[in-house]
Amino acid sequence: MADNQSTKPPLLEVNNLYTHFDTPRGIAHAVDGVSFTLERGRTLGIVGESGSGKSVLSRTIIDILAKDGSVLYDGEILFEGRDLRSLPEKEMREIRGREIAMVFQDPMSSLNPVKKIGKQITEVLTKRLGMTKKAANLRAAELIDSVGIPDAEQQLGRFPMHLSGGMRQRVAIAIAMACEPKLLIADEPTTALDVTIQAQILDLLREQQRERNMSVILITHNLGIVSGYTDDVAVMYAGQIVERCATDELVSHPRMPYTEALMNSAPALADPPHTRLNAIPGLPPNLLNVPDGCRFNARCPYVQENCKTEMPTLTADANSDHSFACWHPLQNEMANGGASA
Amino acid sequence: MTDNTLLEVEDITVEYVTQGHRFAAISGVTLDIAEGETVGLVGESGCGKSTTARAIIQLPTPTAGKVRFEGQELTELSHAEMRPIRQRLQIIFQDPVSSLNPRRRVKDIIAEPLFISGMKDKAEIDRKVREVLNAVGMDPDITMDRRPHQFSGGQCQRICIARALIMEPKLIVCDEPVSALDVSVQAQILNLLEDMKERYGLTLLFISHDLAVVKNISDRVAVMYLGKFCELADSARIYEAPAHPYTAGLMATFPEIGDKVTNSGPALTGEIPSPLNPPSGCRFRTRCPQAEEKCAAEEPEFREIEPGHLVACHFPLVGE
Repeated sequence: MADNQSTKPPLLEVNNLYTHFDTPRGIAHAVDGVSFTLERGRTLGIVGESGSGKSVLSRTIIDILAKDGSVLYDGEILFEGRDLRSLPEKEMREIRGREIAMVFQDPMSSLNPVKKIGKQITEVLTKRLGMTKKAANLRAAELIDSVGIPDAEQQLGRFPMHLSGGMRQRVAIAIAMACEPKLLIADEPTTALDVTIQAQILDLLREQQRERNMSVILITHNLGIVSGYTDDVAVMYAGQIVERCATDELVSHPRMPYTEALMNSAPALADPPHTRLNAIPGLPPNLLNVPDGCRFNARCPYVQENCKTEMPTLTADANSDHSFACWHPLQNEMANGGASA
Repeated sequence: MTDNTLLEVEDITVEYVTQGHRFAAISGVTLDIAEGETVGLVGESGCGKSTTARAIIQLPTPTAGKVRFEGQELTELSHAEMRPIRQRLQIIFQDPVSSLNPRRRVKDIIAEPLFISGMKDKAEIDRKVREVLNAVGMDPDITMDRRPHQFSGGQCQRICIARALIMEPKLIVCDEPVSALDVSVQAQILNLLEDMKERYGLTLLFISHDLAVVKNISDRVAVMYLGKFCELADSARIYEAPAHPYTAGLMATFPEIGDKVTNSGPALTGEIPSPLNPPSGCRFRTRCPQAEEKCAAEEPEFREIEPGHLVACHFPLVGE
């Protein structure tokens, strides 16, 4: 509310964020110096393989990691200009779920198995928004209807186990939408679902995003999903963002060798059978013991001496919004034209 | 049925009883696999892909129908008679970590099939274990004395492949072997399977829900829906000109790099019906964009619309 109308800060600004886990075997660098900005109404894809830090990043933003002192943080998370990291837990609770909502991968374990669907939605409405029971029931039916579940009234009396995976994820989305959040973080929302249902859920998320002018962070390991459903994308590798730009730009002109390797290693429907895949050799680095220099250096086909000693920082290409962390980026044939998507 | 047919699956049905209802998880599945061939089996969860795979290796024996492997009928064999055949009929699973005993060393895990088959020569066993570990790209000196938790998912899948290879099988059933792996590791395992196929003269039945993965590895592809085959054709052909509306729908919803999703909505609406109570006629008709009255009344026959291209649809998109 205190926003200055003329210079409204971006919805979310993450500056130099670190999340480290203090484990018996040492410090795990799960998120290691991540910065990005998300504007209102935009969808940002965060893509990376397992262990790249994408889920820890999202959990750091809404502050749901262990509070026993084993997690170490540094950096800023500015949500509409307020630093979430310095807010007391009481104020953070007002933001979590209400202004920033989250949808998780497994809808069965994110719903309460012994509570009726209706109760799980009305609970949010009565406790967070102070609605009366009656109003909450009506609103719950509306929400269920808006996420494409047929026979809304009847469904409210059922338990999660009665629903299919796709329907459960629709319920999880309805709960996330209950407080009309400004930001939705969807962490692999379709990974547990079949491909035809996946398309339905992603379409639903996009429809909700457009209707409510919400911002969305879509976390996925699937570049095909990023390509179809996001405006901007950040590629994560070993706890760091290694490339960030508009999605179309990334798909057509990746600059970071890891991004290119990731795209090439996935089989494409257009390739003939038995096409040899360009697998990335080796494994991602151990986060307890990250290598010096560029973290991709041991697997990079273009590696040179300085890659092994000096760490490249995420920097924007001249006169464009395309940032990458690489000493020897791939050539961009459009660089001289200065064209952008 | 040519001379080099390795596996003949004829009209198999697997029934289960649940809550007093008897229902068919798969029914009327017929498939021949030639020696050296890779057949892909694709479909959504619950369509019967894994049930088909398990029926082939007689775990459990199908309720009805025949499975012939190297000309021998498997469905009539006892457990004891089945045992020596299993050496040539191996399976690898989706989750490599849970299919390895966490308390045993890699060398013991891989050597287990040899012990079971009665091999006693320690030096020979050691030599064979080293050979298969080398073949799957793992250094025997480093890996043999370690336990599964010391390896990543991709490395565990390599160990599972080594264990399957040690008996020098003819056929390996691969049940979603790369689904739990990251894309960069998935490519390594797919390449490895192709290499092993060449080196050991393997035949593969490859199950996956990922259309691009199945296309990449298979010579022929079968698409399953609600317990039945709906289409079977050469890998290149089926992707180029799918004849069943379900196959076409699957391809349209498959997210690919470079795709821009349009606002026309998903190609396939609705969800898979319950196998306890499948729709009448064509099982896909409740989700089919072009269903007509005939589809509800009459079940389409699984028939050949052009040589080697079979489809179960009254109104196929190509051919005839």
